[in-house]
Amino acid sequence: MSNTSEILEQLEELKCNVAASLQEISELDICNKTFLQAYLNDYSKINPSSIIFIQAVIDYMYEKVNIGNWKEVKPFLRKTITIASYLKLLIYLHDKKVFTNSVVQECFKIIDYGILFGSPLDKEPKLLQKCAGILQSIHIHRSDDSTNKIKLETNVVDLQEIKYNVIPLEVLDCPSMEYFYKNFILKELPVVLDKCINHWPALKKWQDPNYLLEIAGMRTISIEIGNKYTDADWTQKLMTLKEFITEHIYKSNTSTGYLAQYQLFDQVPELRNDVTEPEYCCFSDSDDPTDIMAWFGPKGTVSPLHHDPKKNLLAQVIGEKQIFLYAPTDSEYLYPHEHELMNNTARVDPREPDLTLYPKYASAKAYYCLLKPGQLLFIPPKWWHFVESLSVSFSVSFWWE
Amino acid sequence: MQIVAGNNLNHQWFYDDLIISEFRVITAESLCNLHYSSAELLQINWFYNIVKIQSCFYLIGFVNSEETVRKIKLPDNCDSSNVIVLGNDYKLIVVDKSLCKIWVYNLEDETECKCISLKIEAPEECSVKKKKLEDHICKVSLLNDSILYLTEAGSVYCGLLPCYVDTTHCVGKVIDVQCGYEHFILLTDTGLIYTWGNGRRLQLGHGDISNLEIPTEVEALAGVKIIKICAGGWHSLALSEFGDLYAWGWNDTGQLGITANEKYSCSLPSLVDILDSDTVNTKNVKDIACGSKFSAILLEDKSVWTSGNNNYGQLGISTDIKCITAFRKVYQCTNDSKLMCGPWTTAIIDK
Repeated sequence: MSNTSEILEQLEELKCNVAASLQEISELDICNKTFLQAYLNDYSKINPSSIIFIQAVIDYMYEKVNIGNWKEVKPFLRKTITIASYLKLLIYLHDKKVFTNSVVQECFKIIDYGILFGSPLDKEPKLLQKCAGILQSIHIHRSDDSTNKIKLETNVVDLQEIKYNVIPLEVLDCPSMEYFYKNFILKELPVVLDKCINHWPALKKWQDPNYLLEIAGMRTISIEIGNKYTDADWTQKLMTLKEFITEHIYKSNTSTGYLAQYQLFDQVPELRNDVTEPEYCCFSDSDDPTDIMAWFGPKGTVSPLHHDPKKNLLAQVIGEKQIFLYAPTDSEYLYPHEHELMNNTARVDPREPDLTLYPKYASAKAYYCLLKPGQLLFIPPKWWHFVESLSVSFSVSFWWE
Repeated sequence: MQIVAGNNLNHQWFYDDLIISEFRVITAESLCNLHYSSAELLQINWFYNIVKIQSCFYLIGFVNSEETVRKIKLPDNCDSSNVIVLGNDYKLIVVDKSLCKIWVYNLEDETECKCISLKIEAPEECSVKKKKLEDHICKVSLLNDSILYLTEAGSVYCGLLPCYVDTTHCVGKVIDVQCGYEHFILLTDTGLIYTWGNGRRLQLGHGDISNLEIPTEVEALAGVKIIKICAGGWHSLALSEFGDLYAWGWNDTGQLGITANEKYSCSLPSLVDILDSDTVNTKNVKDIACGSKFSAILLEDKSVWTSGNNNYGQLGISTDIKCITAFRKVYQCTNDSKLMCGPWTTAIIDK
């Protein structure tokens, strides 16, 4: 079993770059800056109470990043969370002799909190991911003795013929780039693409929950709790992937939990190797990298009718989802919410539209598809879509401009 | 006398412990030859306090890596009896009340100072009279980047570079202003309260999450005469003339103190029941104060009650309890007292 000093040594190799990145948080207040500087430059400053102080730095910065709109938070505040999380990891391991399961678990918690609320340093953009990688080496080693492995459940999709008044979307077998570009990207029309991602390791590997648990079971993720984000009791909760899989994926008696629109592949790069970005994403108007998001949940997760500003290829890896789509020109028939924060979400539920409340819906033209494992759905920008999982489901979305 | 619980990370309360989780009397008799026992506590910040001792102002807590006390040098010709001194994590602000001048010092480098004059403006409707107004600043509220100035005549200005806030539609004269992290509250002498700013966490009390640019009456409290207001980070408290407490806004750690075991946030003012085990305590609330995610109240029987986040002992109870969601009695004063909170601190001060 590896002892902590070896690991600590590897983690400390990153310290130089972290110290150099202090200049990226030069705007930080003098008190917090002085302490971070002192800890980074002089290890002898660390004592048993250091963990309380570094936690306070993180908690205080967490309050600050909650002020105002998340997207407008000043980068130095989130970078401070990243640096403080790294330091907390070092301080935490400082007086630990061996890696018990609970020590490794705590380390991942520290790292993931930093990844979720911090932001990448210019000098060391993958700092916390690297720390996780270093810790992963012991963790994989130890996971052989985990006793209660979860068995794969075969998910029987309820296949009663679904009778909606809808137009089924065209399904194409791996069209040429040119054909896809001319007929769908340029015309901004939705389509289902088959046999394009058959080579993805994820299609096979992710069927086994033990694989996901082995790679990322200890990682903390943010889960949406509640039926849909428009419900009053909808909330978000931090938990480990293991807790999520055991409590929400393979148990139906708890409230619906959904790992939705989540940057899992940035947090756990090992899983990124199981998927590849579809070539169709190269038809881009900008240099920004494609946003790759994970969507993992039990049967019955619902994304209410809404639209997004970017082009979207939704790849179905595990299980099935049904999706309703409407052209942007149909907006008035769908009754979008009026509040500025919600006006990309509509009130109509396409499964059982209430025509007395929403009479204009009768004029809406609904497109529909049942997305199966190995298929991609192209959702053009601004197209309204409603998504419901019909079984345990894992999808990956690619958003680009 | 100061009795304090909460954040002592920078030894601003002189104890060695980083967290004071049960109320303690601050006993620093002398500190760098200062008579701390006669200190008047002016503001509790995250890493320092501002106190006034015998007509001098001091910053106590983190000053730099060596020092914990700094005497605040007032601008020339400033009369210490006529200034307001406040700070945040970056700046120290000295306001000359009658000159309406504001000096802004950089905490990191005291030699860096900007002086701003607050130009007393008459509201637009009155400006035709071309009357030069004689007015003074009487109160400043500062939290993080939010700052409000109130003048004796009841005018409100907002921002480090003060901008006039139109309150001509408010009924009565403005007598108090309070800043949250991103919302503002004002109280008029008719007992009405008005809120504006960011409402995303329901802190404005109008029943929705809208942001408001102009002070807007909290209509749910229109029939109740309010005598004191207080803004937490993202929540608000109001005290009525009958000693009733109203709370609204974000309740993620129980800072509203309204229900045991629940953390539902409130978009409208909610009357808070103070519960003695299961029976409602009918004693009147005398004073209220808010930290960033907790609240403290003082009842007429001199008992202190707190609710909300307790990660740093700010409720005055053991940090084994991370938060409580209904007000709980945590201290019994013997003297007539008032409350003051910092972001993570509760202080009980002799009146």
